[in-house]
This record gives sequence, structure tokens and C-alpha cells, in this order.
Amino acid sequence: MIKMRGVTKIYEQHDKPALDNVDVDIEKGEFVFVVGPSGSGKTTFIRLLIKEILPTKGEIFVAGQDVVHLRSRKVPLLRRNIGCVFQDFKLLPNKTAYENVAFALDVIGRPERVIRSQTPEVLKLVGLEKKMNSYPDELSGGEQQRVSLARAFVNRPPLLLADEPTGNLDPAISRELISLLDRINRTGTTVVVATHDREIVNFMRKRVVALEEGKVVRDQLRGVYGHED
Amino acid sequence: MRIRPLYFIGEALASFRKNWVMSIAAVSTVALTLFIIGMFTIVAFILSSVIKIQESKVEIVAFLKDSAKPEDIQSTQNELVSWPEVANVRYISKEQALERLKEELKGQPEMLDAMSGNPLPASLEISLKNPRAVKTVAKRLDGRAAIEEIKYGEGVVEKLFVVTKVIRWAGVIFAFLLCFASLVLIVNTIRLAIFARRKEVAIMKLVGASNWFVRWPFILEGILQGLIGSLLAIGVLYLIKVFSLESVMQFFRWLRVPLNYPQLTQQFYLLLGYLILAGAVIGALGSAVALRRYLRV
Ligand SMILES: Nc1ncnc2c1ncn2[C@@H]1O[C@H](COP(=O)(O)OP(=O)(O)OP(=O)(O)O)[C@@H](O)[C@H]1O
Ligand SMILES: [Mg+2]
Repeated sequence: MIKMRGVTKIYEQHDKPALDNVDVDIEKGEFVFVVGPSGSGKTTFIRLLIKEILPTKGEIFVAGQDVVHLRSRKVPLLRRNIGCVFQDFKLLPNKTAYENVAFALDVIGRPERVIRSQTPEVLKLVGLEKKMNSYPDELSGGEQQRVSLARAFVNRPPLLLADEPTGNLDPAISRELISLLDRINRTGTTVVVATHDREIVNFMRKRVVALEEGKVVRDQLRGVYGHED
Repeated sequence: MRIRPLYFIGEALASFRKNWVMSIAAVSTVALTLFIIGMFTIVAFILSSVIKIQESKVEIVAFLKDSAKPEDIQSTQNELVSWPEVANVRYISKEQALERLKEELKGQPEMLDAMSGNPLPASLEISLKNPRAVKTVAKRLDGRAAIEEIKYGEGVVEKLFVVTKVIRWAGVIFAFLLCFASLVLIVNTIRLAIFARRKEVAIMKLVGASNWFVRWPFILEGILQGLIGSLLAIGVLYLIKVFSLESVMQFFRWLRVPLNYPQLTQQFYLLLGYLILAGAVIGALGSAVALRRYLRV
């Protein structure tokens, strides 16, 4: 599902690479944690996969498509097949929680009828059925995060990327959300979670790819978070 | 992908409402600039109409010798009519000339009394299709047997044409600058509005929206802003017309300039139509252009 070959990303105002010669393979249907301390390149890893940014060097393939050389008119199609929970949520400020989630379906041209049945259903799954008509600035960080998650998987994408999906949640809700991701994974969706939430990583016992200063330092099946941050 | 015009219209309306500060800025910019352009154009219409009337007053008068033979006069007249520059030729006999003078001097009969007999010559009054050809035609006419003297306001006519030419060019240049400045102003306002929403655009793209999916609501919103702005502008222009038409007519009556009011009115309504169209087009294009750079996500 995901193949990275020698991927290096150096941001313009930054001389130290955010990702440094990374090789990663993630198969269809896998559940993978990408862990590492703050600034180790987790978000950079995710942003490269949806072509939000381009690598300085290296090759990236997602679902068999050459992401780096993908024609710009094809990029929306790529992104519709990737659900993404952003670390900073990226909710549309002028839309309610409901409208934000529905937007992912609007974009792919789903009929209104489908949108009206699927959107509340997904919001209910993330526990926000009571906040559907709130605007992002009326929601707590954790609630916004869950809207972002709902939007990411409402259209049942084959690949789900989640950047710190539990960053703003208390441990109980974190576990609930991770087990939701697990259930989504069991329906065949490939799930990649970038996190430094030690507890959920150790709890889930999934494959762990550990980054440090942009390098892959460990890639372990049924892994734990590792030593200390 | 299915196209859902209703969805886009709904998005445009919602965002017009939610970003109302920017909407008002865009609408008032469009309204103000189109109003100024409209006002200028109306003045230009009237001015050009006045110019045309003044120019068309330019005539050639060929005074005829008292001794001229009728057949010479007739042949000169026939020849003139056949020239492409000539619109109309009128023969004024000595008697008609005297009648006219009497009419003009009605208040001062003593001037007429001082005249013995009829000293006035007969003449041909030649009006032209293109008044600028006056000199050429006058020269060509010179030296005919029947003709004593040719007058066409030499010197004055040339000055008149210089003045009208300057006015026309100044108008064109000013109109061009005005349109350019308005366009820049409107596009900048729209650009500011879209700049404020660049993050929103980026988010839409990251969630998988195609460029056109993002663009349509913005374009429709631009059209809406342009339409409202231009409707405000033409509303004010219309009110101005309603309230000032009478005094404008009076003014030109006083100046003895017979303006062609039906034609001017027609031009006025045509102008209003064009202003609406311009508002919508500028709104749409402005949005599309301003959006372009933020779509590269
Ligand atoms: N837009 C940017 N411009 C310049 N440097 C950047 C940019 N984004 C990230 N970086 C740098 O790249 C490195 C990796 O950043 P990244 O966001 O991928 O880390 P992260 O692992 O997601 O961290 P966190 O856990 O805090 O979210 C950091 O050193 C960061 O300062
Ligand atoms: Mg990050």
C-alpha cells in the first residue's frame, strides 16, 4: 500500500533533514504506528503521502501510484482514497461539525441522500452526535480531533492516516478511538498512526516504525513504544 | 463526478453570508467604481453628442455671382450632389436671403431701411456627411464660373476640430485609465478576501477537492458580489437620471444645443445593461484569478 525508497525531506528554512533517507514498506491491511519524539519527522512522513509536500529526494508510492510524479489533476483522486486525520485538525472554520464531515462526501459527489444518512452515523461513532451543529471554534481540541477523524473515514478510504489522533484526548477516550481505528483496520483499511502516545502503542501491540531525527531507527512487528522519549 | 449546481450555489450563498465583512467590501468597491465609470460614460455620451452637433453645424456656403447663368448654377449644384462627401445642397435665392435677414433683424427695422434694393447674393449651402472634409470640398469647388466666393469659417473650423479631437482622445485615455484603476481596485479587494480564506482553500484541496470544486462557489460568490455592486451602481445612476433630466434638458435648451434625447436615453439603458454584465464578469474573473495561486496545494 505504501512504499518509500530513500526519501529525504529538507525544509527550506532548515538545513537538518526532517526525514533522512527513509525506506518503509506498508502492506495492504496493515496497522502501523509511526512513533518518535517531537520533531522526529512523523508529520513530515504523513504530509509526503498525500502530496501536501514533495520530498527533496526519493520515491514514494501509494496504492501503486508514483506520488512524486503524480500529475496535479490526479492529486485530488489520490487524496480521496486517503483519509487523513491532521495533527492540527484542518477543519473548515465556516462549517459545522456535520458540514465538515459531509464535505468529504460532497467532494466525491455522493448524493445528498447518502450524505444525510452516513454523516450522522460516523459522527456517532466518534461520540459527537450531540455536537453535530457546532462550529469548530465551539468545540474542544479533542472534539475537533474527532471531527477530523470522522471526516477522514466517512468515505471508507482504503488508506487511513492519523497524525496524533489522541493528542488532545484523555486516556479513556484515546483507547476508545484507537479501538475504533482497529475496527476500521479489520474491515480491510490500511491504518497508519503517527503518535508519541506511549500507552496506546503498548496497549495495541501493532507494528511500530520508530523515527529519530528523521531516520528509521526501529521497525518491529507487535512492538512497543520503546525506551523513553 | 456528478455536478451539483445547487450545492455550489448554496456554498456561495453561505460563504457570502458568513464572510459578510469581506462581501460588503467587495460589493461596495464594485458599486463605487462602476458608478464612477457609469457617470463618466454618461457625461462622455452627452459631450460626444454635443461635439457631433457642433461639428455638423459646419457648412460650406458658396455665394453666387448675381450674373451667374441659371444653367451654370444648376450644373454646379448637380455636380456637388454627386460628390461622396456631400450630404445635402440647398439653393438660397436672393429673395430668400433677404427674407432671412429680415427675420434676423426684426428688432431693428432701421438697419433694413438703410439698405437700398437687395444687396444680398444668392448662395448654395452645402452640408457634409463628414464635416472634416470641409476644406477639401471647399478647395475643389473653387473657381466655378457661377461662384463668387466660398466661405466655411476658415480658421475657426480647424480650431473646432482640434478641440473636439483633443476632447475625444482625452476621453478615451481617461476612460481607459478609469477602467484599469477600477479593475485593479476590485481585483485587489477580492484578492484580499480570498487571501483571508487561503487556509480554507488548502484544507479543501487536502481533503481531495478538485480545483473546480473549490472554484465554483468562489466564482458564484464573485458573480453575486459583482451583481449586487452593479445593481447598486445602476440604481443610483437611474435615480440621478430621474431627478436631473429636466434641468439637463433645460440647460442644453438654453445653450441652443438640440440634443437627441431618445438616442441618449437608449444609450443610457444600454450602459446600465453593460454595467450589470461588467459587474458579474469582473466578480467571476477576479475570484478565479485571485484564487489561482492558493489552489496549488
Ligand atoms: N514547514 C516547515 N518548515 C521548516 N521546518 C519544518 C517545517 N515543518 C517541520 N519542520 C521541521 O522538520 C522537523 C520534523 O518535523 P515534523 O513536524 O515532521 O515532526 P513531528 O515528528 O511531527 O513532531 P511532533 O511530534 O511535535 O508533531 C522538525 O525539526 C521541524 O522543525
Ligand atoms: Mg507532528
